[in-house]
Amino acid sequence: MESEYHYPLPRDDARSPQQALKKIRDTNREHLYMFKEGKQIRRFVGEPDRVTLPPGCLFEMKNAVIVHNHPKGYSFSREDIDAIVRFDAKELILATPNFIFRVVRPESGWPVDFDTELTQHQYQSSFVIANETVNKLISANEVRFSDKDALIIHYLWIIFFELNGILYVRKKTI
Amino acid sequence: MSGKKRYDPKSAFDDRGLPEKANSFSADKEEEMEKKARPLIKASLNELRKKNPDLFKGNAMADLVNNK
Repeated sequence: MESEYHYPLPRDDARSPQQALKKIRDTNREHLYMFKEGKQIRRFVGEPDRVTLPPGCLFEMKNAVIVHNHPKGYSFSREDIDAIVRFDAKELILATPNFIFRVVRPESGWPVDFDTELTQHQYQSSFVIANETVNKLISANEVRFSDKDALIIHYLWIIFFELNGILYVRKKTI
Repeated sequence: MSGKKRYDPKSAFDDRGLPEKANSFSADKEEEMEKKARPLIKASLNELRKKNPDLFKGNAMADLVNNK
């Protein structure tokens, strides 16, 4: 029977977020590491499309750098961002086979809260603009309709984080 | 009373809402598309700012405006 949670595993030899990113970017299951003051404090391995932390471990994310991966190659899910904001992580770095995505908490703290109407409105507006943008690229024959999903999620986050003055970057992996 | 939904801790890092199909775009193609998308996004954000300035906080758009 499938377990409800993915419980923490013994720490491995990843001594920095960068080392953890290298280990997980090409794997076919989701992983999550927590680093505090440069040291690995927790490590989890999940399924191909999720990693479910026991509730007590979620609170350990406060001020931590979270290293996560998406085997399918997409940027953050709404649930990723909601979790790091809610539990006040310092930074989330996401590895995919082609890119590293990074979002950083502003010095004044996370200015968003997915329980509020404002953040929900910003998220919906970001989705609308991202969708319109990709539709324009499709109309201009720059992309095929079937490739829409590949682009829309990253654009949504570009817009959402711009609306809130939050640093969000994507870098190609070498 | 507002009917605020209680947060489910199991939803954290649950990525089943992402597209089922793996992203098959090459990194170069994605970067090329982003260059084309940026001006479109900037124009849409300018329009949104006029219509709904309350959605913008802090130094929103600074990066986009300064971006090539």
